[in-house]
Amino acid sequence: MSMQTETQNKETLEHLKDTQAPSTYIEQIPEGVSAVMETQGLNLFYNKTKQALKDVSLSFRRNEITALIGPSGCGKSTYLRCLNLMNREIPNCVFEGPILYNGKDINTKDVDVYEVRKHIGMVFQQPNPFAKSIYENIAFGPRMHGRKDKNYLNELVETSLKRAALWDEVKDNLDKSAYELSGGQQQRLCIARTIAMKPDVILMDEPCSALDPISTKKIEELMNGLKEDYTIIIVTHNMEQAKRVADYTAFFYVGNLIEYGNTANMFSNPQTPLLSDYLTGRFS
Amino acid sequence: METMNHGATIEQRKAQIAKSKRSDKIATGVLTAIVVLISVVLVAIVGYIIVGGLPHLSWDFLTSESESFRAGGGIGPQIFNSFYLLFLTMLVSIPLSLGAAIYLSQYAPQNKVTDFIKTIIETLSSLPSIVVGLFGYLLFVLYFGWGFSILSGAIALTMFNLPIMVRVIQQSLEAVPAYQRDAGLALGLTRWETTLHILIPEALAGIITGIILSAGRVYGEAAALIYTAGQTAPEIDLLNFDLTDPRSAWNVMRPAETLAVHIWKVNSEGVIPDIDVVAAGTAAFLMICVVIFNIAARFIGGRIHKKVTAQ
Repeated sequence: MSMQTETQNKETLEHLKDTQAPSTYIEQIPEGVSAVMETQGLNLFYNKTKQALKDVSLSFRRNEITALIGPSGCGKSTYLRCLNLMNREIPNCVFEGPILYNGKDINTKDVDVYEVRKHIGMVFQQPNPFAKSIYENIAFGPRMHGRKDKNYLNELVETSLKRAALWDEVKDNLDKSAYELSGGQQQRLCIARTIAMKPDVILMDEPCSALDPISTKKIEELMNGLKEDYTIIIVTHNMEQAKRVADYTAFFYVGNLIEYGNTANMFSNPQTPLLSDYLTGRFS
Repeated sequence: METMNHGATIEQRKAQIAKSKRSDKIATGVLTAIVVLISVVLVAIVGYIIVGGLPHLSWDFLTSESESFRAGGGIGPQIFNSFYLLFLTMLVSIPLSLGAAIYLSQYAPQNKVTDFIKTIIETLSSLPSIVVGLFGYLLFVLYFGWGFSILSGAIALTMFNLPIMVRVIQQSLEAVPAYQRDAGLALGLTRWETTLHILIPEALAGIITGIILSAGRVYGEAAALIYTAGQTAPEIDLLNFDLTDPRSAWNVMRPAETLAVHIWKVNSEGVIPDIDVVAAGTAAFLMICVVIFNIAARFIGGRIHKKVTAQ
């Protein structure tokens, strides 16, 4: 980071501190458009004192791709991990506020988190296939949830791998270890594994940041095909990627949701000073 | 050129490079010498024991009873006692240490209590085995009234073994990257399912290696057993399955001298004329077993890893 941007970054932070509430622009979802997930005034704290998300209210349209962008540490990944309640696994992490999935609050004490995660799948930054065969990587989850029928699983493995555009590359080696695949193939295997659970929503946490440009392109193409059947919410550090794949974009800054709207509009005509500074590279 | 050398002349820079190369060579030489020295000493010890004892190993020696006064005794009961004690010790310590290690690595909250427990386990793992033996003598042999018995010995060995096994298993589990656990949880598996089906298979090679290596330690342990399992090897009958009969090999309430205790016993208070022969033969057999344990640890660990991970 150059001297100049650093100073400006500081200025922006100072500006935020002064006003406490930065100017925001959140496009509302029109009546009648179905939101599959929604958070209402979500707050998240680490160790009861450090607030990492501040009053985030955001809706996700069904069968669209929404990108969460913003500088490092802005809370976009933390926000994503609230949506499938993964943050409940982190000690000393507390988050409050309704998280609606198909209109029902899942951020309650008595909700079955394991059931929630079957419907809201997740793909991680680091490709993380299990140390099992390619076949087992896909069949494992459904089998653990009681689908034991061999024919069903065989077919599920095939269709999931086809959906993830990996079938042709691995169909003759389903018994091989997933670790023998390349990074990009491993990530597509992780996507196939998530699809095999027949989820509603797929959360992706910087899925391409560990991959080369060709693998990245393949996964972006894949996402475009997947949105027919799934709602995708993707965290990305790469603004070009957001522009390429996302229908809607949400911009986060130090735990605040600053701007949300149609991707093309946001990038060509940002409504808030923070987003326009971010897009012009005045801070990162 | 001037900037690259940070202001030094070319000659100064050359001298510097020559000096760096020389110290690199010296370091390599010294480190190699250390490793060679250690290897030579270890090979010499193992070689001395095996070469010295191997000629005395015969089918008769390995199967017959030991003698108290005459020459020509064997180590049959001691071999059986060693393996039986090992088996019972592992039967108790594997489930306990697995449970403790899983709890400590996956479930325990990260706080001072957990840190304290981990410190205690580390301390216990360096407890001298004679202390464990005397503690076992007071508690199991005298207070519980179990006498010098296989049971007292097996529980004392478990105490001796448990802390190290917990640490090894815990380290194997912690070596599995956190994102593997996340992957399981994100598929809607419970923490227990994730541990059982993802973490343990991935850590299995390390866990099994740890178990087999600690089996080698238990197998060769003497001090913890002298005052718990006792120093006598009564005549035993392998086919007698009446667990209350003192002559039954399987009776856990009978005293049972092991190989390592036998070596200590004949050397310290033996009155047989062939002490050297018995001690050397027993030591060689013990050493061969431990070597086999170690080779098996590598082989089995590797095979199981291949099998569960399809690699």
